[in-house]
Amino acid sequence: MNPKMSSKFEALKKTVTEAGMTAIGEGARVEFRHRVEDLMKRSRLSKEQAEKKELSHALQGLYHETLKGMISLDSKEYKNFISGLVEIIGPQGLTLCRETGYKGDIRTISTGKIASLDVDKISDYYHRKMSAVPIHAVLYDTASEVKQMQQLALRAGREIFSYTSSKDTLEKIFSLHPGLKIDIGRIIICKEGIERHEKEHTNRLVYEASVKQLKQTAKETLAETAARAPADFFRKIHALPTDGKGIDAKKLIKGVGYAGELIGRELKACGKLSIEFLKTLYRFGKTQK
Amino acid sequence: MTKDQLLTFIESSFLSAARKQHAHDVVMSHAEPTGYVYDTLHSLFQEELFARGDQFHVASTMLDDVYKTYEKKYVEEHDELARSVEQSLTSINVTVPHEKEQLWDTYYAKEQKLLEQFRSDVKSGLSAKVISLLRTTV
Repeated sequence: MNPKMSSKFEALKKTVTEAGMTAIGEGARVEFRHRVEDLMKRSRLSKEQAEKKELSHALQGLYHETLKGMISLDSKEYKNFISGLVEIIGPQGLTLCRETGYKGDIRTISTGKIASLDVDKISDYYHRKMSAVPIHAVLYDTASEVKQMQQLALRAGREIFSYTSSKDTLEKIFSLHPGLKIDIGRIIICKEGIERHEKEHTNRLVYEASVKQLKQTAKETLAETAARAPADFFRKIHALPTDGKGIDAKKLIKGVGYAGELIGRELKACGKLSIEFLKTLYRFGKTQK
Repeated sequence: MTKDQLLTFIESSFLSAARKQHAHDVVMSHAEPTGYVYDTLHSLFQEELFARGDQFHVASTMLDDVYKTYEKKYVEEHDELARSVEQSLTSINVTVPHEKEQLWDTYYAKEQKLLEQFRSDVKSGLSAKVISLLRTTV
């Protein structure tokens, strides 16, 4: 293949790969890659230098978002940061970073005291999003995670920026400066903590709503059954044995199943003979007068 | 509508036994269905519907009460759990991820158990109430 064709083929291959990455939700990685390439074109920076500069920008963006008080599940700034990190050190590197965050001793950070205003911001977020706020301990913990993330993003962003002139890769810098790697790992852990609270709260609300629905179902069953008064069903119900604590569960299920069957049958048999028929009957009766 | 059609309709209707008997008597006491017969049948059906509506309203309130009882129990237990996690949170080092994760693992596992208990209580409580209401209806 001649060199001209080869470069066109490479460009096409890159476009297709990037389209595929965007399609599987890795568009942010593609955007990061493009930003790095633009930066390399605009300045005399090497790929490694441009990557560090862009990652530092992403951390600054994340820091600014934490100042608003909460990092949402689908935070764009966090996605920018994490996609940049994956683009530079790969998914395995990211996993190692997270593990280091768990094991390593973090350098001192000063998050200050969690003020009621910090907790209120988290509360507002939940209130706006789901009209229901989790317990205070969850709000407090989330606020504390956001504060930690804020300080870590600020420090890590500054430190990575200070290495921009160095031609070392990010991984090399991590090996020379393990504290920085721990900071990055801790940012990931903080986000996971925030996410976990939100997901657990959502699950709890869904579960509670499903319990409330049971009440509605009971009312509907009662209304349907009582409105049609299927005598056979009542006889079956009367035949159910009760112990001191309540109804025998197996028999109850049988009874409820029987009720469903009967309601279906009754509906089929006298559906039109009920309310609608009554109306017709009344209208017919009036015309007979 | 013929007399036979009317009687068949009354038989297959949701009217209570006493009202069914009354409706039968009204139809049988007339050689042909008249406006009077239809009006009487209509009022019988309406009375029955209103009676059932009232019954249902009372039953519905009872079901609300059953739910509220278990909901109150769940909320109290959940509050208690929330207080305990709040206390634990102040006694751990929040910058050590393992400690915090363990605390929340325990909390969310207990919360899940409470939710399951709440669901089971409501389900059995409501089922028992529905059965007892149906028994008293007849």
